[in-house]
Amino acid sequence: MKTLLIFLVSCVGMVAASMPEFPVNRVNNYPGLKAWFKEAAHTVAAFEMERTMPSGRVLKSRGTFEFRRGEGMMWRTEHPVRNAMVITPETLLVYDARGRELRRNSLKGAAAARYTGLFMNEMKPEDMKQLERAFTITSRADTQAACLVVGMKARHASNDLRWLLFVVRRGMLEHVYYESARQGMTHVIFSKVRLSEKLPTEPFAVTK
Amino acid sequence: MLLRGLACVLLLAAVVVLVLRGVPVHTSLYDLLPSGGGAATQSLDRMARASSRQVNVLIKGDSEQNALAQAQRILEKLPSGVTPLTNQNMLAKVAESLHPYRFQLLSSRHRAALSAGDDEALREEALTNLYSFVPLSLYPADVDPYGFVTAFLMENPLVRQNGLEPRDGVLMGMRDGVHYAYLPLMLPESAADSLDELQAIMSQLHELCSCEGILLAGTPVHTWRASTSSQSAMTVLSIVSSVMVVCLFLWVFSSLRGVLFMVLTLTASGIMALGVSVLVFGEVHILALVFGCSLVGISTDYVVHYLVDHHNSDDAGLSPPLKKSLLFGLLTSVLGYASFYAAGVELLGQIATLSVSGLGSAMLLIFAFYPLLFRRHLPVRLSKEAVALGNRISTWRMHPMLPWGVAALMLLVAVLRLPVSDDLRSFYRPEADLLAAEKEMATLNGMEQGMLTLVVRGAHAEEILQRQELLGTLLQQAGVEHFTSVASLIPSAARQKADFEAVRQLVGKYQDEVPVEMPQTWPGALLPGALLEADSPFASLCSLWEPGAGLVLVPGEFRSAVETLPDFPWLEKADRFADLQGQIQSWREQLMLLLVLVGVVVLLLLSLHFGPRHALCMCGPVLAGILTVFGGLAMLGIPLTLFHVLACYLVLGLGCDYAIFRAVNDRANPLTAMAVFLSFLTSWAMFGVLAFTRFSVTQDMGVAICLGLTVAYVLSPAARGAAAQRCTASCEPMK
Repeated sequence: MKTLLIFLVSCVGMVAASMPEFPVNRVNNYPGLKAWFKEAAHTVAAFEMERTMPSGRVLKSRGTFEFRRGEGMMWRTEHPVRNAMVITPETLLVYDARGRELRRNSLKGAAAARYTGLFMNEMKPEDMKQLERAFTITSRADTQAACLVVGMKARHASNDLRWLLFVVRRGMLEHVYYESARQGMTHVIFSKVRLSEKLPTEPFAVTK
Repeated sequence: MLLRGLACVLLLAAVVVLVLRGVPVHTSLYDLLPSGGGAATQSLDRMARASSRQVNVLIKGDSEQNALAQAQRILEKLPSGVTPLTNQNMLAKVAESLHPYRFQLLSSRHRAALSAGDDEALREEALTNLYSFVPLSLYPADVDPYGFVTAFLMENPLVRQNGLEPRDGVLMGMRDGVHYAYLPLMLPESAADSLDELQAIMSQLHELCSCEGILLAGTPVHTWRASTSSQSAMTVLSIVSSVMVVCLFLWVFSSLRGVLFMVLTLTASGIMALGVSVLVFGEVHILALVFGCSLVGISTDYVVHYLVDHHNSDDAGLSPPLKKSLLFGLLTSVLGYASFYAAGVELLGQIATLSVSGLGSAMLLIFAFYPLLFRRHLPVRLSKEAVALGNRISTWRMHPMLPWGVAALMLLVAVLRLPVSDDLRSFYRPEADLLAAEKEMATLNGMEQGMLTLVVRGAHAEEILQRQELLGTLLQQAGVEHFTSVASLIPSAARQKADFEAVRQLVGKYQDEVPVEMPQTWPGALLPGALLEADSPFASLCSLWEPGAGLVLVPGEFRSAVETLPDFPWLEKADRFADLQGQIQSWREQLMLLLVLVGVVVLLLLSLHFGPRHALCMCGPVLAGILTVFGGLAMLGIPLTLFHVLACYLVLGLGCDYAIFRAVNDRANPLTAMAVFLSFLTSWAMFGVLAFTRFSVTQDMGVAICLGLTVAYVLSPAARGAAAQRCTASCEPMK
């Protein structure tokens, strides 16, 4: 019942910026998740991010988001700073506004980023197994598969990423919520989402 | 009566001491190492002591996931008391302790950017940290937006060393296409003092890590493997020795009564020796206990001579020649072992105390109780075969100067060819698989060519840190990588303060865009003591740090680069193995010199009592025996070690007995010949079998005893009857 309630809250109330709780009971709908992944091979969207730090300070930013299944994703921030972060299954790269590489981190050391990398692959059973060792995963779609809610909750208290929830409506990524022990609560709202089954051949455009 | 009373009182006193104090047996080998050498040596010893509880587990896997899963399985089932040195909270814990100092701890990258005035790049980095989807920061992004401490830790060469990266509490890496997980584990402190506990824990760990592709290395693994296999080897050898001695006694005496009395004597004298040692030293080291109690085994000779002397005799008392032989035998052995005191080494002092008090006690028990005990069990009957053999042996003739000739020859061979080894590492020969595991672990840690130690001295912590920073810069300029020092982690106060000022200016400049609450006053420096606490993940660095000196560890492959460093008065290149080699060489030389001195004293004593000519006859065989040890080793190409020299003292004690008994008794006395032969065989059964062990220490001793004792016995007829006339003139006639 609680799950259903949370599900409803997630689907209906998420448009409002209120932060949901993570679903307590685990419900798996991997086929729904996989179907969305298959359709959303290439996603481009605008995003608005709001982060509430543990200190209470709120940080707002906006920019564009691009996801390429199996290749990686890019968060290009346009305000208040212009830069780009590219996450591939192996590396995290940060570029400045002029496209200069500021930082390059191996994802081997960063658990959250590594799991993001796993997600970017084709969700093979072994990837899911590895994810499930670190997270309790729940995914649920409504009867018409119009709204899909996927959640991951860290199994270990020491994990910085406590939980992550994303909402997909009619195949379009709408919201990402996550709570980090150090960085507080983050809510990302996506808009102007464009989907394509074909992956572009050119590299991520880190500058506008 | 007086002797009996004295023996009873001493035995009772020893029992009381042992009951009240117990038998505190010390097992740590590090306590035996010489403590000289000042702060550097102490630091190195502390480092070695800390690593004596560390077990390194290397898990190899065909994939990263498999290696990590195996490591996590091991972590979940660790034996009680074993703690992993890395865990999931490791970085969070360090970050928490560094929080007050977050504006003064800079990575070299950030320091360079600040020095170069590249403030714009730092501002962009701060904004990126604040607004990125995945902030890579150990703190909330608004607390440390510039990511100074995160970079200070994550880009620190100590944390990033050798490509190992922490993941879910496990250090992961890849080398030559093979994924591996590295788990450093720490055994409980109690395991360092209790061999039983260490063995129990290591057995559990071994079982846990018994899958293919998992390697165990580290000092506790060596201790466990060596002690387990030595215990089983010693059990087998003890059984073989006991069976041989029992068979010998059955063959010679057709009865085991002698064995029973011998065991009782050895047990009682062992208790008395242990009581004296505990009273004098407070505790006994395991090595002293083993060596000391072995040396007490010489007293079996006395029992054998008593028994043989009472063949077909109803008088349980000790005949004057027997008394004289026994007392002279005791005197030579006691002189030999008492000389250990002169070396000034506590272990040797403990061995001397145990053996001298043990031999004295055994002699006291024989003099006090044997006449009483054997009164109802006499006469002792030697088998016909034994008597026949004694008759045959008693006819062996030898020129009295032949042993001296042999001794001269052996001395010449030894002087010309004898190699010497005082290297501590050569005393231990681990099994091949353990060596391979250690080699692989060393390759992983970048220490395949060993480790160089540089000692940086200073009047106070700040001076040492500043000097280590200077040294670090010089090492980097010389191309040295992966060196370890406390300054790699904790900057000097001067550097911290300079960094704090630079950061304050930067923060002030961009306060509108990147607001940060930064203290306006200098909060004080992070001091080494704060970060090197016992429960800190960096606690292992403690051993590199102490007042007055700090150590810098450099991989051995950079030896030539280190040689190019300028000579600073505060910098010293320490080589602990060379120090120890020098110390062991000094002990060996002292013991050899003392052996010569003891030999001269024995010769003088015997000369005083029996006359110089007879004394020369009596000392020849034992001298030949001892010099054959040196000459024999030279001919076999085996390097002389400290343990060969220690064994020579045993040869001196036993060899002197053979010659004295042959000299004091009548030339054609078959019983004496038989007693000496039996004594030689029992000594061989007890000590000679050590030559067949696989452990260098016991093997060295066994080889030396086999060589020396055999020659001393074979040449002992040269002394036969040498002093018989003088003895019979001064003693009562034999019955």
